[in-house]
Amino acid sequence: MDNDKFKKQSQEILSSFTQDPPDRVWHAINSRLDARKRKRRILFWLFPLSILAGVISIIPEQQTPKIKPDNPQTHQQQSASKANQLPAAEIAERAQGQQETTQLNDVSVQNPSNKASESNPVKTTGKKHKLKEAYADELMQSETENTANPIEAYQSQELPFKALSLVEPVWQSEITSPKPINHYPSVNKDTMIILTCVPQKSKPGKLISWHYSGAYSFHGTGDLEGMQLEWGFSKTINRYFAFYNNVGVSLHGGSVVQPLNLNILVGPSAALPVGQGSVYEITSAIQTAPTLLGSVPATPLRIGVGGLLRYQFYSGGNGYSVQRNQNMQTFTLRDGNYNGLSLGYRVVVGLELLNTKRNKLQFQAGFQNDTRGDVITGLGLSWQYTKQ
Amino acid sequence: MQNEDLIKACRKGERAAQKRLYDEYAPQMMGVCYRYAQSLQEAEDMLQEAFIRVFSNLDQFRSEGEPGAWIRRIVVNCAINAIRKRKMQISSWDNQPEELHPITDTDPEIKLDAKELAYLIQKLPDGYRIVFNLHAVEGYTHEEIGKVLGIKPASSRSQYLRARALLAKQVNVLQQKSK
Repeated sequence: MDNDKFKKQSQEILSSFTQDPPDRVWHAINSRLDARKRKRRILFWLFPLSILAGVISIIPEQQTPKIKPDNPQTHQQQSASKANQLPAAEIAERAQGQQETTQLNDVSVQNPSNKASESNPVKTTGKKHKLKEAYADELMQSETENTANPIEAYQSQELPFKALSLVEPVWQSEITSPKPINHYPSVNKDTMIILTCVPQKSKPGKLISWHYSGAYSFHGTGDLEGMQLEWGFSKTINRYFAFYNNVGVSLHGGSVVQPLNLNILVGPSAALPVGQGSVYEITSAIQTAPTLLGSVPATPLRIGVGGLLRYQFYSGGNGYSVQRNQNMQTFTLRDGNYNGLSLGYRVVVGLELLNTKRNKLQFQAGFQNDTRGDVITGLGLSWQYTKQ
Repeated sequence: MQNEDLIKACRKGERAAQKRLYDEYAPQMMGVCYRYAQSLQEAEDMLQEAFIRVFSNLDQFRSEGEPGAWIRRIVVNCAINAIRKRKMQISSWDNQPEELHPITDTDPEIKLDAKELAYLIQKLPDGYRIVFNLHAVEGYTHEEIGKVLGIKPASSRSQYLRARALLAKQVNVLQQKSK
């Protein structure tokens, strides 16, 4: 039997060969399809949510009305009038000194730079509180008249309760809403807090950094290679996290047509020479990937996860790609939507190589996948400049 | 339901339609997987992966075409990918000693049924099995097989000839036993 006959005979016999797969195969397919559906749903929401988070992070903080510094004269008048209003019984009580100490059960927070907090003390509990308020007023009065240390002033008068002076930088919006007493864990109920607020123009730690990244990357299964460039800015959320908004471009090219690696066999036919069996393709894209950046404490490792919005252009134009035909001698131009928008996600892992006050340099590895099934992996460097 | 309607329903993600498409083509495709796989378990995995890809890429299928040929191509792709994932050293096929399975011109007439022949093909060594399937059954040329598997066309040719010789030997043995 010659070779052709053996082949033909094998083909004929095997063309009728079928085998029923067990039910577990369909069950597995079914559950994987369900999982893909869920994943697609998550992807669908991931992008708008990350965009929303990005928008929230870049909206300027709400401006609070500026608080005019206290007029010492007015303040003195207010304090004096309050002191005058003290009932005689309370003034006598004040003289009793230490005996009252254990009975005091409240704390007042006084803010010398803020009238609003005067009208909004943390708690008020009857006579005892009024007594302390009177002390506080007197303290502030003495503070404006001479520059004596408030703690010493209290101590010299043998106060019936402990006094603690705190100097705390506060952001302007915080001045109008005094912090609850449990904000100061070391303070007990018998302590009077003299809170000196130092207004800050912006919250400390909210830094803006500019990022410039470049990566050598692969598109698809590695048959297209090229590069990605990205520019963006990040704003710190807290010590460990920052939100990164960016825009990037990518360019990839390569020979992609291998007879068995394409699945599509349909579309308007057009005979192309087999040639070397491959066609050069180029993809270019513009994308944005709002990313939550996190740093792993005590390590140089940085991780970023976020959504992806990508518009890709394909060198074959919108509508054509090539596919080898079954006869192995011609190609088919396949129809499809190759220029288009897609949603996806991106994961970035970085290793910090340099970290100075203003500059950071990271070695980065990235992976992204989108709804068109485009996978891009890359390795590169990212430079981060922080405005101080 | 016509094929076109069935495909449309599958594209919409209707599970009943997907099951119908699966029921229609799975037995034939399982036969393909069986020939490429080392075991039944591996064939089932290949079939599962192939149908996931079929349902994921249905929007790229043009309705006037025959789904069977399109699905078969995906199945063959998946089979080759699965073999690659097994990290089989395809390049090592280039240097196999000739005395292992000498090339002969004497081939018996095959009087086996499809299942028996498929079984014998499955029992061929990896390289022989894949090249035999691609060349003798799917109709690829040795140049194309070389490109797909990353081997020289000459290696594909010699793999095929050895596979055929080994298969012929085993067909003979089996036919003699059945007499």
